[in-house]
Amino acid sequence: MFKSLQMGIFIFLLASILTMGGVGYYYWQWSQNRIETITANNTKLEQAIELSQQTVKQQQRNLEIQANRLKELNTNLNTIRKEADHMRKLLSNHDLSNLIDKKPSLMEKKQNDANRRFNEELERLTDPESYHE
Amino acid sequence: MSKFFLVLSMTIFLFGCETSKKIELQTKGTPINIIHPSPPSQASLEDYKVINLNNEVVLRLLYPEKTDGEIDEMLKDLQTQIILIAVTPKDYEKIINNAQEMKRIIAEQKEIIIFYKKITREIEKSQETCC
Repeated sequence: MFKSLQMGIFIFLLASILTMGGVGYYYWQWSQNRIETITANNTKLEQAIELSQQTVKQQQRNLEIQANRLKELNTNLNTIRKEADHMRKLLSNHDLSNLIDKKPSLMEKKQNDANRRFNEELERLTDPESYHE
Repeated sequence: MSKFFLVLSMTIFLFGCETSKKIELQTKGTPINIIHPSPPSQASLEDYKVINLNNEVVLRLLYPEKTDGEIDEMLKDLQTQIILIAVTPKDYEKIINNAQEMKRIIAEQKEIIIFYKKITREIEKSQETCC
């Protein structure tokens, strides 16, 4: 009776130890896998953060470049518009009919010079090489 | 005893529930947002009148002192046609203004093309050297 009780306790303890060992081993393996996954995830997330930071930095740089160039473009466009306005004002401020009537040869020379200059400017403007500025 | 097995099975079951998902990283190229400058303002061109002068009118203008008979004689002698296209000073001004307007548009378009060339080149360069 006593012996069979002892045997029962022994078997129970052995079974408990084996179960606990199995559970412990399973938990250790599971936790190792988990740590591995988490470490890999962490690395990937760090990479992703770094990549997104680089992208943001790059976008900021691009915006800065564009803003600077846009400022330059607006200045150039204003100069071009001013030049066009200047010619319009010049013509409206002078009575061409009267000037041609009074000084025909002088005006003829001026007109021809202006035409030549205009053509030269247009040629310069449309020169494909000038697009590489 | 049954409590022990219950706790044991619950522990195993709960451990099994808690898993870590693997993160999948996807890298997608994002297009560069380029600011679009406003296009040149529309060309406002003015209409002008062209006057065609034929032989007779030209001769009458060039030789106002000649009589009708003399002009007729000159016309008979004329082997080739003299045709002049004339504009009034006001219309001449309009032609100049129109030409200036065309020049302005070309110049502005050119500046915009240069703008795009510059920024795309600079952005490419900065991406090469960046980070």
